[in-house]
Amino acid sequence: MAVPEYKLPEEFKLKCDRVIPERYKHMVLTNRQRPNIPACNIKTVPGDMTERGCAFAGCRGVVGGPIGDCIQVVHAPAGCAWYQWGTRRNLSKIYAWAGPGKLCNDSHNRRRAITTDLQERDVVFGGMEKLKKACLEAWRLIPGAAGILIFTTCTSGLIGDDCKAVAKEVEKELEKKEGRPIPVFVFDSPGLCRVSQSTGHHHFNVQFYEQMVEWRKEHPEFCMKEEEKTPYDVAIIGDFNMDWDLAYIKPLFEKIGCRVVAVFTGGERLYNLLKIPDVKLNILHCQRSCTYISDLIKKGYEIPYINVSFFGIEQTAKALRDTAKFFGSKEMMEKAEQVIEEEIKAITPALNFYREKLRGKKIGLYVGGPRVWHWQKVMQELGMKVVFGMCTFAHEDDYEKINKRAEDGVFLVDNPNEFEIEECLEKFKPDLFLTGLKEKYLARKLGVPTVNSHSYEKGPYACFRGFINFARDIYQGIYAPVWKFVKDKDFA
Amino acid sequence: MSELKPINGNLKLNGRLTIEQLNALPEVPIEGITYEQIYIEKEPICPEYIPPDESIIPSSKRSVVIDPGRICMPFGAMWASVGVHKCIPFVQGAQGCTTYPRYTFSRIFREPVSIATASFHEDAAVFGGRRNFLQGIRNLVYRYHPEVIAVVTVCSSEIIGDDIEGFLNEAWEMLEEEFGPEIRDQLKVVIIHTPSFAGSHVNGYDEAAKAFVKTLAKRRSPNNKVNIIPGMITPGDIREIKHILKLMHIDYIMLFDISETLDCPLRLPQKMPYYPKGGTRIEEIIDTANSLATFALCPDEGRGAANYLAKRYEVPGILGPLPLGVHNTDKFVKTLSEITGQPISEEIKDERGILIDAMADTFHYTMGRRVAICGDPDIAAAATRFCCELGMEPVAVFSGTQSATFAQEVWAACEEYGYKPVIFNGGDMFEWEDVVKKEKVDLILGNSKCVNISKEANVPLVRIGFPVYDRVGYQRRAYVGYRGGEFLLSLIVNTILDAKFPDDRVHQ
Amino acid sequence: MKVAKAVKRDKWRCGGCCSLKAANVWKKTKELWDDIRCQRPSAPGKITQRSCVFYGARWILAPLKDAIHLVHGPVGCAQYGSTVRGQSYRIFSTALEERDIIFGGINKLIKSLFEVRQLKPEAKYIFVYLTCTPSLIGDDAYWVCKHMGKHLGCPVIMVDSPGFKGESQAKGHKIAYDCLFKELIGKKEREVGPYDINIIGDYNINSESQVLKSLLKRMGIHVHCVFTGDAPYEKIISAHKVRLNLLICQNSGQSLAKAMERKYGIPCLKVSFFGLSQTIEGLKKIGEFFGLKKEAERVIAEEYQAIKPKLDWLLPKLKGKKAALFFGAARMAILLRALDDLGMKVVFTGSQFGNKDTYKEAWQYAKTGTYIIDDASEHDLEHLLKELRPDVFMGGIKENFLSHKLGIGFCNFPQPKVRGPYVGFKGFINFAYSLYQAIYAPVWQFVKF
Repeated sequence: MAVPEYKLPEEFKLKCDRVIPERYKHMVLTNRQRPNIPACNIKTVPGDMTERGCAFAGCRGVVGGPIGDCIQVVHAPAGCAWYQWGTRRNLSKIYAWAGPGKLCNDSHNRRRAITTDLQERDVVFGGMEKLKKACLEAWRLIPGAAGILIFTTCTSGLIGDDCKAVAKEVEKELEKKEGRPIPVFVFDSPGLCRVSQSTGHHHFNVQFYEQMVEWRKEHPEFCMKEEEKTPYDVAIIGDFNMDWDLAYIKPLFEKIGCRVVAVFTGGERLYNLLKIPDVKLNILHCQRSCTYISDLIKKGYEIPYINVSFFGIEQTAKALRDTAKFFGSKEMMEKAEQVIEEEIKAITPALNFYREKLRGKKIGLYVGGPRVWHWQKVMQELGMKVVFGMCTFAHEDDYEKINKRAEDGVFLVDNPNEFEIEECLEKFKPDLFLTGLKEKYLARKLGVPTVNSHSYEKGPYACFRGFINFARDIYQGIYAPVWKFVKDKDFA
Repeated sequence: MSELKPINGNLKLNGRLTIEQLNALPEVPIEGITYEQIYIEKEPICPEYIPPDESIIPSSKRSVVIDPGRICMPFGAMWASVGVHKCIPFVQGAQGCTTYPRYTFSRIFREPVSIATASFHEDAAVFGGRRNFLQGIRNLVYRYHPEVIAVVTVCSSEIIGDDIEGFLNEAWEMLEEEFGPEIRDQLKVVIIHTPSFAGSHVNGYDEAAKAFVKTLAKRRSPNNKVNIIPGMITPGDIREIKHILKLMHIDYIMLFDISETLDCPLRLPQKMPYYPKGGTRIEEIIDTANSLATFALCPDEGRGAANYLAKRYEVPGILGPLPLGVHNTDKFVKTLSEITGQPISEEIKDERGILIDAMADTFHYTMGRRVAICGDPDIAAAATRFCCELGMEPVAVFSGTQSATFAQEVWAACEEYGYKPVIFNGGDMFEWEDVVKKEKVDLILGNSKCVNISKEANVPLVRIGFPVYDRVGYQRRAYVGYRGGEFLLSLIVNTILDAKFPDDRVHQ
Repeated sequence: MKVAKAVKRDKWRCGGCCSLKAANVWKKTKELWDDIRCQRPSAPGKITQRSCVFYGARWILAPLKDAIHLVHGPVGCAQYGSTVRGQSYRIFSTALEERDIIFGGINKLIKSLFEVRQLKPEAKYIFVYLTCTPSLIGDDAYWVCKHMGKHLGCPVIMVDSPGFKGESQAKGHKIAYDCLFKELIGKKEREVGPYDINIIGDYNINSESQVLKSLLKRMGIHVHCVFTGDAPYEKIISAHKVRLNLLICQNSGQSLAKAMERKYGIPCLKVSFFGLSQTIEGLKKIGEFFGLKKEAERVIAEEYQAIKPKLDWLLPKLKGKKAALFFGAARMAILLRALDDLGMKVVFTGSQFGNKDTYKEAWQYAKTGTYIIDDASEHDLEHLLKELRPDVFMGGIKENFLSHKLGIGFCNFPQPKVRGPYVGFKGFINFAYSLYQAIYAPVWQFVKF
């Protein structure tokens, strides 16, 4: 899409970027009529204090990591696996055995870090042999998994290990050992690939799709049987079960008569994921990280998808209505209306309390990408004003959505660095900054309260009932008595 | 506002709501309902328990590493660099190599940490990281005016073979052209080579320490100070070391002093860009060549630097042990006294006496307890000795990083007290976990990664070492020195009391 | 019949050299016994280790779980009285205040009695403890208790325990047991089994009573009531229907044992289950009494076999170590013998409130050269410890930290929960292990710097 030439008003040009004016291309003011799109999805300038992660983070950490019942082997020196070890609160109900009659203390996807721990000699002589051995050993040491997912990193990518070939060999040996086919998938997404973690999302989507299609072809028993199918089978794509968001999302669809076959990938079992091409409709939540696979499935299996948001009243209601409309069932539409009414009734008293407290407060928003547009409406529903928005890895379509959903004149920054964040906090003086773990401490040092918007503070935040949690955390952030002490001039 | 109805007396639910109950609530309470209050039935990964293959549980018998007790080498280098005033680590690698460590720092210290990236992408992999390096250094100087840039290499830049030293010469030319020759006085650049496949964070810190003194230290007139290389201990620990030195009236150079960079007060207004006010000054690092001695408190995280200063500038190096526990702290204090000629002060003797008093008051709880220990080599070794001093029996001692001295240290302490623990020198936590679960252990001393093991084995955990991120405040506490020993002792005893005597209300 | 002369200490110029010759210290020089002057009030100004009569009464009555304990006095006494032997108990107070002191506390007592009864309707009976205050203002609590008993339909027993009533807590023990004897025992008849006994003077510290009961059960003895470690109301009122009373703590339980012997003709056997030889001796004595000699021998053999390996490990470590003791009273002699079993040497022993009998017994078992002290002050103990330097000191919580400050390991009595009960055979191992811990704790090597 052609980006119209855009001129940032002089007063919005951040001082810290005087010396690198190319950063000004990454900043715009929103406009609902004629969306302004900043330069985006471009490599970070070297020397930047970027907040971005790498492709591996997107692939293993965000999209692949939540899969609940697989052994996830990271082919790298130990550090890369360590960093992904139980860091995100992408919860799951699937637990490995800790002993006879006893389950582990943490869900399987968060419990262990499994890695080939590449050493100098592996870097010199290649790590394929080690990877194969490691996969087979992990299978013996952590029994009961559904399959193996292999993730590559800079090191294994640069030394050029052919992991796909290794996976095939491991698959063969496991089939011999177990007497049944065991999927071994490879996700090749070294950290230095392309622009940001968004690349990793893309890689995972495409590679998962390819391997899924191949696997289904070779092993038709993994497809859903005809007699199991129902007319209202759906899959939720792009939800990673942060703080059990799914506890609210899934029941809503079940209440209106859908059957949720799988969630891509929040705490899901691998075999359920392999059945996604058998559903009637894909409901796409995270439209940054998972549009790719929805498109591929639409193309390959002619399964349509709808874009939805599960944050706030209006958007969640719309998601239900859109789903009902898709199926065209009058009964479902009625049910949807009924559910929406009930849910709104259940949260109204609490919501009114927070609306009263939060009205007119100023919010700065800095999340990966999609939540910046997911949450515009949410803030409006709470009566708050978004003063600036920032995205780590958003693409043009994200910015389009932000433009559409935000009020006019919201200052947007693409891939901000630490300095820009500091200046924006100074300049716009938000009452609260919605951001992630790394930046929240910086904001606090400047006296701005934060709410962790990646792993949440005390979620779930999704749908109607989760909205109250979200509002509560925002309220607690702004009204925490500590900020009173911070501002005492005598102690400045 | 509606109240949460008491849920049926199901013990399993323990006051939590099932998803069904949650969604059927006619009214959501104002406080909302958080994930901790939702009851989720655990689903086993497979229907029946399958035992793991015992034959390959020891890490020496396998290639796969499960639950490594170490992270990557650049992380250690960044840790050291963050302890230098107005120093920005510049990571010659992909964005993840900065973001992950920053994430980890923030988790542990709850502080902002500024680390810059060279933003490696495919083009760098093909054409090398020269362009990224030059542009990155320029941008940093332009915008942040740092006093030091610590260039930290990672796996990718080392594999593609970036000639960082060559790049730096080019960079200086470029900088001089742009900022004038004064820039050479205003800025220092230290290059630290840390490919992660060559070591762990422990080695990374060691490399960084060496690189800093090698690049900056210069011979001048004697300064009558001692150098301290703390190693990867907490800000609280460093404060405690400073406290001891102050009580002994000894001047010191605290290298990589994170006590005021990774634990900063919240005070407004802040200057921009945000720089923490603390950290070791460059002048001090330059001056390390003229000190009385170098104390590498953690031998594995300072050996290189101490040896270099000893060889090049004849500054004697004292390698450990980490002054944690009575014996080790005694040794530290005595050595300090010998080297500086300062007597051991009354205040120190009193602080020691308080620790001894606390030990005397609690040994009935600690003696005979079987303990498993896990951590970085020097901390684990020192903690093992302290456990022995409390009359506890070390059963399994684990270091995630292989170390030349760790096993020896642990063995020496245990031999002295008549114990024979299993020692893991550089294995993974999986094999250690197996021993912890099989042996009857009363207590685990370890980092936050031991929480699951502790819960599954039903053994209480005392948090110590790197990293502790699931509880607040630990980074501010000291474990070293006499006062730190007292804190650790209290932690240990209170944990034992909680676990073993939960109903005892009086405790005489 | 003479003992080393007691020399009066110079109160004002005590440099520590004269403590072994103080008025309340005796050194055993010959095998002969002479009077030890004891049961005297502590001198004012002394940092005494003793306590008051109320404390003594609570010490005995606290374990009675099915009673209501109401302390008539200002709240402080009740607060202290709620903790006995390191355990917390629910306890009520009339919380007397200034106006009650002026106008009398009777009304408040009556009101409180009604209220506590309502709060704890399941209780079988009520104790009303008198503390200094109501005794001094002259509340006629006896009258109240008598009438309220009728009103409330359960015994309301007045424990007349104002702190000033005797020279030490020992008096409180006696008062408490007298109450039980006078007000409860003998109220209900029952069939007596051939091997029914009571245990007097065991307070179920760390489930001691359970250990003893099961030990005796194995040789066929049935324990009816344990005073007061395991004494439900029903058992107390029929406690006079047994064949034998075992007296374990002779100091506190003596009065009850004697009274029961007098009134009901129940014989009394003095035994102890602390220490190996005494446990064996005790079991044998009981066996002899009931004609169960064989059973006793069998139990002894089995138990001894079970602990032998651990004992073999511990004995060489403890042999020849020096110990010092300071207790309430009865344990003086008992522990002397228990330590003898371990081959340890006792350098001094003493008690807070021992009577002539207890001292006599201690004297009998002490080796020549052992010091014996009555009502030691903190100062006395300090000097004794300093001059005699035992390897381990045994006593109560108050002495614990003093001992530590002098660099001497300490073993706490009543034993904390750290190491299970000390009675019986396995308990002896627990006991020996505690001593081992106290002596061998690595901390002692660091004390000198």
